[in-house]
Amino acid sequence: MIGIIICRCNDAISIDFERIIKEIKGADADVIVDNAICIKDDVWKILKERNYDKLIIAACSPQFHEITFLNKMRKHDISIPYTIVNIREHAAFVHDDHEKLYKKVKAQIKAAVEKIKLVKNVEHKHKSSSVRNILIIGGGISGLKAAELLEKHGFKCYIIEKSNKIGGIVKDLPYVYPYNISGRELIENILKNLKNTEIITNAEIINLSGGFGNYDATVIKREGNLIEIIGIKASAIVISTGIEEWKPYDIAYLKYGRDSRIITQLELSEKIKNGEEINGERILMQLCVGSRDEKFFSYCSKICCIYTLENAIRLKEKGKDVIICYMDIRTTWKAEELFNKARELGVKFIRGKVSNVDILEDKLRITVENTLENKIEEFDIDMLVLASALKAPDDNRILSQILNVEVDEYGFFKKLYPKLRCIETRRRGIYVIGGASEPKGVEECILEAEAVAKKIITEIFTPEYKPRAKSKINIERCIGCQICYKICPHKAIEMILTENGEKAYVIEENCKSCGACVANCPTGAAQLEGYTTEEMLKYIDTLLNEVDFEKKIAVFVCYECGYAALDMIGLNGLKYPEEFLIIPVTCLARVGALEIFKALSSGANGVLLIGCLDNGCHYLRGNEYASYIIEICRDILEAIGLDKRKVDLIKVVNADYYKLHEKLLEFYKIIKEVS
Amino acid sequence: MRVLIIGGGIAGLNCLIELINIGYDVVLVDDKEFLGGNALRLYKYFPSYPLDCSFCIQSCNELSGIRKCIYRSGIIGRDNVKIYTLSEIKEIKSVGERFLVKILKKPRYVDENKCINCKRCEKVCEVIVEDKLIGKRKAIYINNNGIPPSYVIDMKNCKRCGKCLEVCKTNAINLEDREREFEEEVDRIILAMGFEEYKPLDLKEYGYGKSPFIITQTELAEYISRMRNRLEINGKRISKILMVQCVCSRDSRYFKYCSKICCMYALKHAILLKEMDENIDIYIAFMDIRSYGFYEFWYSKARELGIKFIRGRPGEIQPLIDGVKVFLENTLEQKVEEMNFDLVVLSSALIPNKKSKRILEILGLEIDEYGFIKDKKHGIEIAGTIKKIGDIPETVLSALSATYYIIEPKDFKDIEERKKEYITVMSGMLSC
Repeated sequence: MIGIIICRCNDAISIDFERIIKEIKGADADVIVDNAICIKDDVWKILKERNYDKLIIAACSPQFHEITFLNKMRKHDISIPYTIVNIREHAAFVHDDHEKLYKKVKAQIKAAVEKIKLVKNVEHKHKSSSVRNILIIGGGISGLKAAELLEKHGFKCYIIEKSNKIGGIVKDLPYVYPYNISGRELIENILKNLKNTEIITNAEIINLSGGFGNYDATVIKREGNLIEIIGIKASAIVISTGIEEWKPYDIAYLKYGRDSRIITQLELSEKIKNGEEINGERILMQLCVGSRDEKFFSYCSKICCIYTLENAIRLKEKGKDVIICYMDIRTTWKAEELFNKARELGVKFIRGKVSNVDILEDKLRITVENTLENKIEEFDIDMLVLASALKAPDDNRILSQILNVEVDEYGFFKKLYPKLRCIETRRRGIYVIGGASEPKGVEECILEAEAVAKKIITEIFTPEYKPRAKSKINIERCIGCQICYKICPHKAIEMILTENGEKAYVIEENCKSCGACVANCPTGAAQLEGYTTEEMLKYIDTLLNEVDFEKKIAVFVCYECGYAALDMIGLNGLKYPEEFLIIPVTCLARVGALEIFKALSSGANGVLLIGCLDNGCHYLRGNEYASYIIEICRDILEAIGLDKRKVDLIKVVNADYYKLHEKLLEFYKIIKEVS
Repeated sequence: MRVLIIGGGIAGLNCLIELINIGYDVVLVDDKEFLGGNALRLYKYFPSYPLDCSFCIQSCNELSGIRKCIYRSGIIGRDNVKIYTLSEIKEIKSVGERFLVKILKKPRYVDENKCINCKRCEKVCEVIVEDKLIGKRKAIYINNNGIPPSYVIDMKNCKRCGKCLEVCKTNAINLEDREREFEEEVDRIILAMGFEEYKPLDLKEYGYGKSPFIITQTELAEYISRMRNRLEINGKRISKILMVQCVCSRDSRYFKYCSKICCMYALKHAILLKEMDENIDIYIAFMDIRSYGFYEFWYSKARELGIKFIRGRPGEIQPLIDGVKVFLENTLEQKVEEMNFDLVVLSSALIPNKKSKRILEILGLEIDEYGFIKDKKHGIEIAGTIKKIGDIPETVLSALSATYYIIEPKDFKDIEERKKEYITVMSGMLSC
């Protein structure tokens, strides 16, 4: 028996409920109409008493009250598959015609009934990992700090370092802003606290398998001629490969490498740290060497201004003459005090760039283009210091292939989402901190280490109550075509060798249930419970056939930005025609050509896909896949002699809901025209 | 463990999500009608390109997807989350290891626990108010992107006609609502009061407050989010804009520090406006453009779009009847130019939330000369821009780091036991 609760929402949803009950109530479905089920408790008690097998809640947007309903169900000990039908924001709030509204709501509920009949009551097992190991790649400041913090919560950390020394770039800094101590001290302070951490130097990771909670890494350690292979089981992996200074050999006119008096900023730092005497009186420092330069690195290296100023101040205090050539001084936040101090001390700042270097016997003759005063100046100096760009280590690309995570064009690891998920990567349980994802200051590296410690603790200690079903692959049907393996945005699919050849296998811990594999599987082997091909087709078919409107438009909307924008249209009192029939999916990745043509064949005059903006898909690639599918469908429509404008894709965010509204009306006009 | 979070902006909400993810109890206190803080007013936010909404936070573990709008972040309807809007901290007492907190809640006139957001009261209300952020609204109103999803009555404009009372079937509205006091006992406190924009009201040279055509960056953000297709202020179409960077920040007379994100604000708004209307002329007067790190992309993008950058500062800004006259000192070309603009936008310094001062005094935390918190104390953690101005990624990271120091290994046993409960209940969740 399927239980259906319909919420009247204080009569904001005003349809003929009597008729709805008459239509839907039957042998296999029972209907309860109530008011304000989100704040009342009695309806849930009734539900418990009636002991339904499955539940449909027809109420407001699940985006508001999914958790509320879940908690109510938990409180009343109801544990059955359920689905929420949005009859408020997607229906009652946006339509005026009562008769049409009634038909639409009826169709929505009927379609949900047909769909939920097919849903099996699946138990999702929580695999808890007993491994409490963390593998940290890179023994720089961020990696060490992360190990220190994780150790406190009972984790055993393995730090593998490619070189023979730990401490990365920081250990060579004489002063670390804003801590005012040397880099070595900073590193040693952390090392003191490490008790249960194993540091493996001269080591590299060469292979990785498994998923979150159960990663299996193979590490190779080279010591002279000795090669040792170490296997490490880890529940999570932290990438902290750090940054390197670029050596500006490629900028010919700077003549770096041709004279010992032309050095990079970090080489100068090392000299200062080692207490070496700095020869010469006049020193010219050039900022932005290679960085902010389209030819080399178009990004800003962020921290070179700060350590350049630190060095300039120390040299000036020793009585040297210091000139700094800059484009913009980027001492953000309180680092501004360094800039002020340098100016007070009399460091000379020239806005401009070195355009030529002449190496003379006893001095360097430097030509500087002063862009502020619009003139060319010449200086005779004793040392030229180049604040060269900070770049990602070259090994990052190889590492990215081993770990199966992405790197950007410069070799920095890509973040899952740069705004809110900036320490995660596309694979669950692989984190990226410190300079590995962007040049960063020490303060920020430590902040990220703290953040990653929290993230790992949360992910490992809390139950995996991500409630959605995970994708499953039917081995018998799988033909080993590798399509799902290639397109899975979170790389949760592995190819394994069986007796019958290669088959795809889902690493459940890493699967985020986007459904890309389901939409693209040529044999239907991949299925996602709740969004299986059978369920989707049934839903589309019932929804479209239940209404007898002249025009029908099937709208596939992703459960994230697209859904939120549609909600906002309703909440802000905008209206659109009843002909838009909404079919929510987890992500547009789940929508394939099959679903689109099913909608068209079931009577839809047009099909619209609504998803997130470019680079904004919550499942990374869903909207990208959707745009390919749209292209294909349009080609097919054209080939069979139909108007290709029948299908379209809209990318939108919540804040631009009014744009979506305009586009909906526009699409409605087109559909009227073409059919 | 029970944690009090003061401030419901990006930092506070991300702390909340992080704490409920591991099963802690949370009390959140905010002084505004709706949670969301500055994010509700900023419309869209970098670093993602194309820009997406500023009111986007991490999603809780129970929901799929990596991030959610604030309104659908899944923090309402929970037993372990208590939200006090329109509330202030009156008193905090240390009782052993714990804190006893007295909260003063101003009247909302609508009970959040009873309001179901059916929008019927709004329809019958006859008072129309022009709101800076929402645009035209009634005296009883809601911010659809805020939390809680409950109405609030703006008593300054309400005529007490009682029509809303008649239609509200859940009896949520109470026009006689009074200030109430609540007491909460908590183990830890997170301070996330955030920043605000300095309003350069008393400074003659900027002319702020004297003309509707001289505004600050956050005010511009509000205009953009409301205007949609073209920028209009007081009925006048805006087609030539000057943005002035480093207003009062990097200035020894006011705030010596650099406010870090105003350059990015300005670039963001310039790009948004240019994408909205390509004929709009935008000038940015700057000292240094600090689009640090990967943000350099935005600077190049802005130049590509034809936004003009002038290195220099305005000597004087004079309000005219339908525009602004500016004497601009161009340090690159070493001349003073006299130019007329439709709108001058001041990228004013970002300062700590003024209301935070009293709470910091109660807690005895050390602050710097500008009011930013210097360091944390036992049992009290700090998240977000009240310690250090930063962009959203940094704020989120600081929220994560603050919660790292809150959690204790001994609490996890408890969660291990709760594991089973969660799984049986949620096994069948599907949405359609």
